[in-house]
Amino acid sequence: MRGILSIKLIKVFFALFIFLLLIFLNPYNFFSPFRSIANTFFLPFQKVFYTISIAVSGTGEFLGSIGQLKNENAKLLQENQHLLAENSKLLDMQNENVVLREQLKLLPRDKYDLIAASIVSQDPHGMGNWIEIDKGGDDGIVSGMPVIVSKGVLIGRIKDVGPNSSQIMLITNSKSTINVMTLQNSTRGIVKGEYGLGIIFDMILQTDNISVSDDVVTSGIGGEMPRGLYVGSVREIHPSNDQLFQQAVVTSPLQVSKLQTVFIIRENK
Amino acid sequence: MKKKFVYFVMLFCAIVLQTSVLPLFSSTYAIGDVVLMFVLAGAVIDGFPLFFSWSIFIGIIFDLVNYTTIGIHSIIFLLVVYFVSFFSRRFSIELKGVGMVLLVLFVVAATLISRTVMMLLIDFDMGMPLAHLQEIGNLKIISKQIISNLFLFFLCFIVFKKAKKFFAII
Repeated sequence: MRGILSIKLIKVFFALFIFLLLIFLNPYNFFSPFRSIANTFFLPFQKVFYTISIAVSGTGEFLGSIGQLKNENAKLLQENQHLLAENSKLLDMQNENVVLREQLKLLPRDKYDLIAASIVSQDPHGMGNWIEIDKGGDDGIVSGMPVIVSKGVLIGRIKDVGPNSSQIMLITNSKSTINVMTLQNSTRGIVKGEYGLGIIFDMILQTDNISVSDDVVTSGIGGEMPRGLYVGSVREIHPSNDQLFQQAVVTSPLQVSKLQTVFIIRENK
Repeated sequence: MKKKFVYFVMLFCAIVLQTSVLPLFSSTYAIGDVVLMFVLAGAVIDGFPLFFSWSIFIGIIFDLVNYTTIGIHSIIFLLVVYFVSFFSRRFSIELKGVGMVLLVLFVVAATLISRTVMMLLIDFDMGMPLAHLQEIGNLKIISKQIISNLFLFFLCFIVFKKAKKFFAII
């Protein structure tokens, strides 16, 4: 009995030692071909199941919200009247926006060469670190390309590329850092992920102006990202831990878990 | 050969569920772990000698599909399989009485082992030791995940048993 026990323990310890060694050495590229094979095999099924799940979760949310619809309808009627009044103001602001974009030299949304891709899977541990898409190197995707959704909202950038699938590192990933600025004051800094839970606008100089609800866009510094991709709006401002900079919590306008299609910016037209 | 094929199909379904279905229905950090529960059910039903190599294989396949460093999930699954084997020799594991309590204990332990190893290795990878410590110890999130895992475990356990009976796998 003791002999069997020790054999069992030795087996477990030996396997653990080998795998710990693998983790420390991390020969990531060595396994890339195997990753590609595994992904090729799993991808079609993941795509089908992801699409079905999105539809089911959407239906579930709809059914759950029926009770609220009546109350919301009454509120919406009131809001509608209010919005009609606002609309006239917004028309004026639209014209102003065109002028501002020109002044800030933001890229017009239709000037990107985009590749559409479907999401097939997500970080299974729910840490908001990455998503996987069904386009890869065969479609002209390379590591580092920015990824947006339809209205020019940045969600991350391409990390690993396989022949027909790629991994997108989301801006909520702790390893993600992107140069940004505010639209209102051109206050510059970097946004970085916070363990999949949110986005932090960091390295803002104490002398720079930043306010709650300021819009945060990519600054284009470094050339990694085009200028003017929307990241989110400022929700909260506080000093950094070392008191040298200001930090802001940024709220993204979208929920990545509900997305089905994303666009990869191949290049500026 | 038949056993390998049936197990592989079940593993395949579990991985697709884990990567493409469950994240859409669960909240951040509290996603049920169907692959882990599949391994746990396999370890309870088949025992250590028969499921040892499967746990390594499942870990490697899951890491490959999952873009994680190869070895992380194999370590988690090995620890879980050994934990189960350690208790299985001392108590009879059935879906009633003390056996049932033990199964719940296995699920709780497997969830905690998985969370801890996963978070520590991710922190190590990022060069920020113990950055996720708060999330490991968040009682609300852990409770949610344990409840999801309990449901998934019993689902896997029943599917495993039925499949073995249906395909006459020893």
